[in-house]
Amino acid sequence: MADRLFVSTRKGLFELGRRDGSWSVRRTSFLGQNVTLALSDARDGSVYAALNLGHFRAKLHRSADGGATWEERAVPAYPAGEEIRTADGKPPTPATLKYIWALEAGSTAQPERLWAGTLPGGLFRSDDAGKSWELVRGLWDHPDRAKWFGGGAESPGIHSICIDPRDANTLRAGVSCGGVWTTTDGGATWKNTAQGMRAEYMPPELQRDPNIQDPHRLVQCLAAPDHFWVQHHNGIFRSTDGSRSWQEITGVKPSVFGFAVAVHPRDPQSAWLVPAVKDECRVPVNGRLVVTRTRDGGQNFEVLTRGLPQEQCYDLVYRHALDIDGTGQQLAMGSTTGGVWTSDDAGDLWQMLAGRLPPIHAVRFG
Amino acid sequence: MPGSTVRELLEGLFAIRPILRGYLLDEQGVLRHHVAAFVDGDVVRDKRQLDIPVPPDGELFLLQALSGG
Repeated sequence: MADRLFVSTRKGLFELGRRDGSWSVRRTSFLGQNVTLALSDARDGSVYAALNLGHFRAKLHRSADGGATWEERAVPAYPAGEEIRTADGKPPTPATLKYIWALEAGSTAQPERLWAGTLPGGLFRSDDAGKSWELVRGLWDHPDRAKWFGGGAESPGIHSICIDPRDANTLRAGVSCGGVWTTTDGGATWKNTAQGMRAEYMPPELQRDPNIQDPHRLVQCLAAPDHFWVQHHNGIFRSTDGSRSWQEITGVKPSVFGFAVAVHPRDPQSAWLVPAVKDECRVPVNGRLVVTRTRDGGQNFEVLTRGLPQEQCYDLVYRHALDIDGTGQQLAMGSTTGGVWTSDDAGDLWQMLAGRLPPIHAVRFG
Repeated sequence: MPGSTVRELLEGLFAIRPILRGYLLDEQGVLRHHVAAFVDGDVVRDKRQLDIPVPPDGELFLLQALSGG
């Protein structure tokens, strides 16, 4: 089981360690600074922290010693003259990096390759561990990018990058609001593969348009990599054919709305979500924090509550703030009001971290 | 610091400390939204237009505008 958990918060990066079955804060980095994502790179043991400073915007730091010391790296930079163009009525604006919203490591055959998804919608690749970045033109220059929508963040953003474990040149990118994009040639060419998704917020005749879909989070089952799960803005979707098509899973209690989703690393039928009421009311249903879990591909869901607050609880778990470890037994989630809960039995029982952290953007085992 | 405009002074600063470029300017060379610049007490209003003259004995003052929470 993983024994390290990185919690990225509005006021710092908290490294949690596990001993005798319980978690505690072992180290704090960037205290007082807004850390949006962390990545523990299993290829060389390095750790990356993406920051979004209020004044000075996005920054990236790398630690070669597990988080004790940090060195600043380059951030993705949009070339001069590039524009954000969307189909939601906003005028074109110059493209500048708002923040890093997805950060993933390449394969072991590409030892210094990193992928970064950003707001306002560009995908970047580094082949030198973040010392330099290149805009992935195949996606940025695709004519359908101009059909994307901004969402709550005004501009489109790439929040999920799934690197196929069978082939490092095959990636899927989840875009809010732009659907799911797939490449099989390392990023040279891309295709929107969100067919089957439905956008309830659109006029009826436009609800099936793949280019305005809002998957909140996209995850891939590593051992069964044709299987994907999406927590979407207005529902839950699943693909079993390598993200070529999506099926909606309906009727899930207490709600199909949420931000995060996790899939078991070996069992594609098992997934976890953290529901909130709906997009118009983003708090737990009836003030009860619950996790929903399916073991049969979404036909049935259990509502997990043991160890979670069931009264006057308004914790919300954002899209990067739920994670599952390599065993599939251990889960962790963090909320916008600083609560951290962990489970080592696939969600049957949850423990709350002693302490109140700042608002949490992301949790990640490492 | 040599330079007769805000942009020239900034370039001189970045030559000494390259990392400051990404802190003060975005990729399009625009002064960041929450960074304010003053030339002898006068605020720089158009953050895209940095060819503002600075007198030989003038002062360019840079500060992080208040934001946070």
